[in-house]
Amino acid sequence: MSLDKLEKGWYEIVEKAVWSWDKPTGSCWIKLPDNATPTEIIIKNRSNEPRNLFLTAIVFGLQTIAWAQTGENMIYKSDSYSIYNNRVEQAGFKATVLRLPG
Amino acid sequence: MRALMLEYQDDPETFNLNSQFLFGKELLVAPVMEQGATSKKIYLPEGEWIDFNHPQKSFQGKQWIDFSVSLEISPVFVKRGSIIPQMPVMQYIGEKKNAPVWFEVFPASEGRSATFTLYEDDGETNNYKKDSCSKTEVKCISAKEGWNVSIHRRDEKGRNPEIGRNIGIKIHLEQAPQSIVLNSAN
Repeated sequence: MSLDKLEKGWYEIVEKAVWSWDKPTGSCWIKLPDNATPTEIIIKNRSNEPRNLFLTAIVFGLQTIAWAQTGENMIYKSDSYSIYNNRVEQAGFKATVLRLPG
Repeated sequence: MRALMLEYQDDPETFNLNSQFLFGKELLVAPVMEQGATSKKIYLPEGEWIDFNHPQKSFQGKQWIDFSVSLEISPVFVKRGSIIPQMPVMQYIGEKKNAPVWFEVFPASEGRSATFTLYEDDGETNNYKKDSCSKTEVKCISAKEGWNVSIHRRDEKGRNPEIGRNIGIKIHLEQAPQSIVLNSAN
């Protein structure tokens, strides 16, 4: 179900659970049916890749500036770049540069 | 609403913070106090803190950060492993019939869990003094293969459970889930 449709139906009682993935905000919306408590919801990962892959490196431009192992938080700070907390979940991840030199 | 030092008593950096506060245990609010400011120095205590306005951004705690600010948005951070209940804006109790409660889940790291207990009374009478209330317990366990969210509603001491309670979950994930199973049925 689209998020628009789900939001429009916020006040409606649904008979079975409906859900929508909102990519821009990275959030999954799940609307539960009437009197659905107690409820157990199991959300399964899309990826079947093992999450304990070892060692990944960030290459920014042509220069390696930081690295971390799976499950670690990556923190890198210098006068030029600041990268906070890129949790390495699996092979391949994105680095967020929050502050560039002014 | 409370000072950070009450929650993080072992962290001396929190002892003299005059321009940021906790809202509950989960939310850290750092209002901009300076006219025309474009950035604010914010101290984040232990844990991982997610920008509530842009949940894709997160920061490791126990450090000061320079945070870009604008007039439109107040800096608010939520601690990883939190569940935040939300409802639509209403001008008075009962304005919107069947108004939903959304539990916004920021899952904990693998092997850990996030919990929240929502307290509700009738909103009109003093019956809460007799403990007439209902409590809804929400828990999200993070596992290797996904997340397990449970919602358990306990009705206590004479308060009739509302019929047709509208409940939803908004869970922040890195990618769309493969499947969602409710009470062992898709």
